[in-house]
Amino acid sequence: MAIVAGIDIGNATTETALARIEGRDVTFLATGISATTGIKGTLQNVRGLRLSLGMALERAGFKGDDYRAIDLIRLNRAAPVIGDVAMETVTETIVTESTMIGHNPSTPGGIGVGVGVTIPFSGLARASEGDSVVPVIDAKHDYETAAAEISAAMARGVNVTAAICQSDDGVLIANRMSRVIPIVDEVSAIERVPLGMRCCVEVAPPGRVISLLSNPYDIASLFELSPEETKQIVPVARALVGNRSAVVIRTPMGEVRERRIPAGELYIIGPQGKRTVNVEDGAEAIQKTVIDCYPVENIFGQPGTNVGGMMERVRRTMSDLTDIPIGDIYIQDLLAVDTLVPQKVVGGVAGEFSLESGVALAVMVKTEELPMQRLAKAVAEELGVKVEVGGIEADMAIRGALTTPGTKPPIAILDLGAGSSDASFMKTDGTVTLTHLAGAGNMVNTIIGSELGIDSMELAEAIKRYPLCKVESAFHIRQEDGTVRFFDKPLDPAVFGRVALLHENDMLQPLMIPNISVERVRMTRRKAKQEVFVKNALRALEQVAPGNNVRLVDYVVLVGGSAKDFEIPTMVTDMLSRYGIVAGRGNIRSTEGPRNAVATGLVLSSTGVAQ
Amino acid sequence: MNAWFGRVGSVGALPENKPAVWMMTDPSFPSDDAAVIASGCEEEGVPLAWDIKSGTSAELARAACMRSHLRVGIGIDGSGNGSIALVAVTEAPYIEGGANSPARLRWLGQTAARISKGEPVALYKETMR
Repeated sequence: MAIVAGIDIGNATTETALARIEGRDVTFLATGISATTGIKGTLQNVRGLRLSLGMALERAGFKGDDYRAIDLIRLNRAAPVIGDVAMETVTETIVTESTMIGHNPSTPGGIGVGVGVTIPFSGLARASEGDSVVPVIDAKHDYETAAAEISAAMARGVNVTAAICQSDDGVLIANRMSRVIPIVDEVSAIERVPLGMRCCVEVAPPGRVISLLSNPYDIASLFELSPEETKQIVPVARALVGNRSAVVIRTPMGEVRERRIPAGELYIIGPQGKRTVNVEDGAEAIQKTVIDCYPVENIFGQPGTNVGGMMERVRRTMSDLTDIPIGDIYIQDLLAVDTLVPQKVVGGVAGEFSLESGVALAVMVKTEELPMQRLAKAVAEELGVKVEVGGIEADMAIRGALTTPGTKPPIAILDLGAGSSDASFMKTDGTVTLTHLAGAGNMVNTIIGSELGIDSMELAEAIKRYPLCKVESAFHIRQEDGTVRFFDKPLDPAVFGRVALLHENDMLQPLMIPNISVERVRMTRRKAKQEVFVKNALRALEQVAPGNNVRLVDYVVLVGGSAKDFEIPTMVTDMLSRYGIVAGRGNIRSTEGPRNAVATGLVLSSTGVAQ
Repeated sequence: MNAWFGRVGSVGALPENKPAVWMMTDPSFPSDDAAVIASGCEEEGVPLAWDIKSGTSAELARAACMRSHLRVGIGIDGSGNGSIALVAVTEAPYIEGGANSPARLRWLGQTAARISKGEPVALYKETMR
C-alpha cells in the first residue's frame, strides 16, 4: 500500500489529488487547491505546492504538514511554461497637436456650440465690445461671481460664447445667466488650459452626444485646417465620440510633437523558414502566419519596436527564472486577439483617453525538462518525500477526464486553464495525440483590463468571473439578463446607482470606472472569452483531431479551471455543436467537477509504479 | 430663471406639487447654509423644497422624504448633523454625515439629488476640497 499525491502546478492554481494505492486499486482520499506561487515550473512554486498538499492531507485526516505519510509525489511535466509576463498589448501612441478637453462631466452647463479666444476670468472685465471670448474660470471664483461678471460683460457687448470652469458649477452658472452658453466644468487641471488661443466648446442636450467636435471635418472648418492638419486632428475627434460635452483648443503648430512608436514585425520560424507579419496587420493576419509556419519552431520580434521589446522581456524573464541561457528559450506558439486600448492623449488637459486599436498577444515558451527536475528535487529536499516528474499535462488530463461518468475513448479533452488551452485526443486503442496552445483565462484578463482601462488584474479577474448587475434602488438590482432581484435590507450607499459584480453570497462589488455601463462591460467580457477560448478550442482540436478534421471528433469533455466559468463552457459547446460534436463539462471522479483532472491522471498513471 | 430652491410659504417658493427633494431643518439652521445645500441639488438639475421643524436629523429627514414626490429627504438638526432618508428605507436614514462646512453642505444636496435620480453617489472624501 502506498499513499501517492498527484500535484498539478498550473498557471493559476496548484491542485492535489491524494490517493491510497494497493496493487492496481486506487482509493482517492482527498483533494487540495491553492493559488500557484510564482511562474509555473519555477522554484517559486514550492510555497503554493505546500498549501495545496497541506489542504489535501488535512482533509484526509492527516496533519497538514505530515509529509511523511506520503510515499510519492508526482508532479506534472509542465514543459511549456507560460506566464502573465508573456501577454502584453502592443499599440501605437499618437500625440496630437491640438489641445482638447474631452472629459464627460456629469453635469455640464448650458447647451450649444461656442467659438472664441480663451481668456483668464480676471481678464473678462478688460474684454472689448465685439470680442468673441471664452473665459476660463478657476475654483477661486464662485458661481454667483462667475455668472454676474459674464452677464455684465455680455451687457457691455462682449461676445462671451462659452466658458470653461474648474469647479462643478456649470449648471449653476448657466442657470444665472440671461443668455444660454455652453459651459464645460470639472476641468481639474485648469491651469493647463492655454490662454489666448482659439477654442470651441460644445455641450449637447441631455440624453444626446456632441456632433460637431467629434467630426474631424467640422473641426477643420472651425479652425480653418489644411488637409494635413485635419489628419492630425482625427485622434482628437475620435476621442470625443460619445461625449456629452467637449472642448478643442487650437495651439500653434510645433507646440506638441507627434511621436509614433511602431508596433513592429513578428518573425515566425517554421519548417519552411522564416515568415514576417506586421503587428499592425491585425490578429487575423498574425494567426494565419502562425498556421502557415506550423509547427512553429521559434518566434522573434523586430528589435527596437514594441513587440520586439515584449519578446525580449519574455525570454529574459524565463531565462532568469529557469537559468536556461536566453538563446535556448523557444517561443513555440502565439495567440493574437484584436483589441481596443485606451491610450492617453498627450495634449489633453483632463486626462483624456483615445481608443486605439491594438493586438493582445499571448505566447507560449517551451523550456527543457530541466527546470521541472530542479523543482522536483527542491520539493523532495524540503518535504523529505520522494518526488518524480510524471507525464505530460494533456496526457494526464485525458486520463483524469476519463473518470467522468459516461465517457470512453475515442474522445477529446479540452483543458481550459489560466495560461494555456490544451487538447488531447485518445483513440480506441489508447494512443493519445496532444497539444498545448498559448492563451486562456489570463489572456481574457489582459484583454478585459486593456479595453476597460483597468490596471488591477484582480479586478479584471473578478469581471471575468462574476456576472454583472446595476443597482437601481436601495433595495433592488437589475441583473445583466434583465431580471430584477430584491433585497430585504437596504444596499450599501457605496453601490447605489452603480454597475456592480454579483459575487457569491450576494456580495456586490461596485465597478468604480467612470461612465461605465453594464452593456459595455458585458460586451467586452464576452468578446474576450469568445476570442480566446472559442478560437483556441477550435485551434487546439484541429491539431489533435484525426486527419486534423474537427468533424471527425464525436465527443469533447471540457476540464480545467476555466471550464468552471459561468459562460465559457456554453460558448465552446455552442461552437462545437456546429461541427456535430457533443461537448460538455467534465466531472472528474463524479465529485470534482471539471477540476483536478491532471492531478487525478498523475495518480492513476502511477498505478503499479508507486509500489 | 427657473425656481430651483424655495422655503415653503415664502415668495418664489416651489409649487407644492413640483417634483423635488425636500429638506427639513431645525429653526436655527441659517438660510445661507440652506442655499449651499440647494446649490448641490441645482447643479444636478433637481429642485429643493425647504421647511422648518424641530427634531433629530433622522426624524427630520424622514418627515422631509414623506413630503417629497421624489421620495428623498434631507434633515438637519440643531447640532449640525445631516441625514438623507429614502421613503423606502424605514429603519434609519440611508446616509448620515455632518452639515458643518460648505463642502459638506453642498455634498449633502448633491448626494440627495443623485439618489433621487438613481445615480451613484460620491463618498464624501472624494468631494472634499
